[in-house]
Amino acid sequence: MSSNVKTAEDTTNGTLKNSGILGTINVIWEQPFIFKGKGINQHNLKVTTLIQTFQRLSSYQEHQGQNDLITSSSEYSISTEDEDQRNDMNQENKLISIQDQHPMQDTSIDLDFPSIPRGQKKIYEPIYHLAPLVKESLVLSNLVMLGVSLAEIEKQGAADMLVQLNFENDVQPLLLFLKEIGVADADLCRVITKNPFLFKAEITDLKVRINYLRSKRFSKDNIASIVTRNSKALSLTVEQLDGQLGFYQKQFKLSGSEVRQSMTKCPKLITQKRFRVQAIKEDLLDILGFTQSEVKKMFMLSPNILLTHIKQLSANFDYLHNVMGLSHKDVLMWPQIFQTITDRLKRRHQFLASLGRDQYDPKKENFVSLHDLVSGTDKFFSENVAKTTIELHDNFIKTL
Amino acid sequence: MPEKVLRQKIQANLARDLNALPCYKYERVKKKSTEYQTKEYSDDLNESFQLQPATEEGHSSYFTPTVTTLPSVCEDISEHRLVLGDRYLPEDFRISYVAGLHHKSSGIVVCGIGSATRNKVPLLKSAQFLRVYHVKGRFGYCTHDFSPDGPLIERTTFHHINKVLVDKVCASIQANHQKQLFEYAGVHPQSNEAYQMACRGLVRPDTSDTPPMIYGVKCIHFDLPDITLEIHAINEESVYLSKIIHDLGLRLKSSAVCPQVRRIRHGHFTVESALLRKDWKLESILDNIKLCEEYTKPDKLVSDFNIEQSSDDVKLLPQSFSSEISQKSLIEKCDLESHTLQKVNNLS
Repeated sequence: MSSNVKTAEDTTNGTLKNSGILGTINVIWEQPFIFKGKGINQHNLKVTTLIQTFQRLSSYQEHQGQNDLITSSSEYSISTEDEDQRNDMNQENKLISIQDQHPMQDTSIDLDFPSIPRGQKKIYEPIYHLAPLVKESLVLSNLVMLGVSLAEIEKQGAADMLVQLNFENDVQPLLLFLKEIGVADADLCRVITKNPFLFKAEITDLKVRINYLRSKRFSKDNIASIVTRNSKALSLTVEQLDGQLGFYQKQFKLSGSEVRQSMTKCPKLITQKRFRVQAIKEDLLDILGFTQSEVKKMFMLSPNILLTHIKQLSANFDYLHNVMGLSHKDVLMWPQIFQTITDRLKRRHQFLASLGRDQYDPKKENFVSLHDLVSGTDKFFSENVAKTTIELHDNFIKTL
Repeated sequence: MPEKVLRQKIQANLARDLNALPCYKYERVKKKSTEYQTKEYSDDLNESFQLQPATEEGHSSYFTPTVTTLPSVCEDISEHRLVLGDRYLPEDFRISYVAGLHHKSSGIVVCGIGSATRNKVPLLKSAQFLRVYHVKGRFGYCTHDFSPDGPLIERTTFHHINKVLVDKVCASIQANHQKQLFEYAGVHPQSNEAYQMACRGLVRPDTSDTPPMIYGVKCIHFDLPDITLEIHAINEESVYLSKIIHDLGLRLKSSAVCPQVRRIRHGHFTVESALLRKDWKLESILDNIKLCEEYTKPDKLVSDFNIEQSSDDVKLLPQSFSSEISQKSLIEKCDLESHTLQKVNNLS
């Protein structure tokens, strides 16, 4: 693709009267859509310059719209029923799609150029962004009105799929289905933005998956919150869902209600890779020296511990255990401590130590809990926990 | 914290803060969806930055699953933020340093953003400001990379060391480097030229390629086994400073490691005006740029230039003309608009 563009640019740069130009342009324009997440701007520039030069060549300037991109990208393929509607809009802008049957072609293309061989396929020009299509496509405009971020969807590589959707057949049933599950109106956009590939799945499949969750006695609210917070869970098949839930049950020896509780607390675990979970569990058991029951207790208190990075986990525990002198039991009181940045933990402990307030034993006076140590803004911390001023805190940090 | 991470963090913060402002013509500001707050939108960026609450009618039509009509707010939907994505990307912000820091050391890093990377950062670099460090040392250990975390080579005794001995070695290090200063300036230390150079102030190296130049070493804290040195230097690196601690240990017939290197001053930039990590936000960075503008004025940049002595010097030495001219052009360049900011790079 890139090599094609390069050759075309070379030709357009210098020799406009060269009769070979149209041939090279043809080669490029035969390609249908090419959407790319990265490096859009570079290609865009090339394409716009290319289009501009072609428009100059083919003296179509009276038909030319104000925005180059919009005029250039008016032609696109969607296998939908509302084609008539779009055809009306595109009638004027069809100039660039060089098509044999097109009535304008005979009159307006310069005679200096060799005519295009007959019997060629319909030619499209590449579009690198969904923006020019939004106005014309019912699906895209409605999704935008709903609050779906098309820019995010493009990054996931689902733009091609999105353009080919039909509003009545593909989009509406999914939205109604999501509402039926119990997803709030305001959260619909979030669900679709995070997982646009739901449009491809069949509604009956999705219903089976939801029924499976219901059969496992997840309540309706729980299912709604799981779908809203991790819509990728819906893309798993029933076997995968079952395997994933069974995996957690087996690894941590959970009861049914405990599985339900933890999965609702942290729905991301449903799509988490199993080897990552296992690695963290082994780290907690073998390297950090927790027992099986302690790991289960920590998991139930904060399931998010399985989402933390393994380096951060061991760095935090190393500091808590070896520098701050906390035992395994003390850490169990508030396992969320593993999710705080190690830097913040170090800073705050050092500040308390400089004041002589680093007292983490709950049986003695002036006890500082782990929650108080790492949560809250610096101002709140320095005034309520360290009982000093924010200026002193800042000045201390500048000496670290 | 490595320099690259520092830059990425600032870029990401700036992009986040700028994107939170209304940047496109038509847009509604998204609130957290679960809170069920009424959506707000900014009417027109040119007219007003204030956000106005949407009408009830518009709000109801946004979120029914079968939306068919466009609300009156968004006339041109293809210019919406949801379609075009964020206006600012982290890569849009160019950031460069006057002098970087090793990832294990902390202290002031002077950075330029945007046009300052072209204008002021090269000027600040060429001004060759003195940098002042507090370097900590601990006797009794010797490691491969001079830091206490590194692989241990040996352990030694240190009870024979006292402050007088440390001061002696510090003075000898300083004297050695001062001899080198004149060598790198290309004059004999005993000559008249050397005297004139010394009269004009600090003898600075011509380029930034020279080996580290140390102007002063002083022991400011002595409590065995810990010591703290204050080091003034140009063209130095953090590793070189920790190597000084290592050499100090060897000369005192012991060994030492360097637990901390902290830069406390870079020319006129001091710790007081530096930004902490929590302040790496749009507003505080903008405030800091204004605050630091006075440090990049021409009179501050030409640190070498002593006005009282210059008139005599010009008469005596025809060579110094050229240097004066170059300084004048430097002053003119400085008037260009640009920004610098500085910040403390905390231990990471």
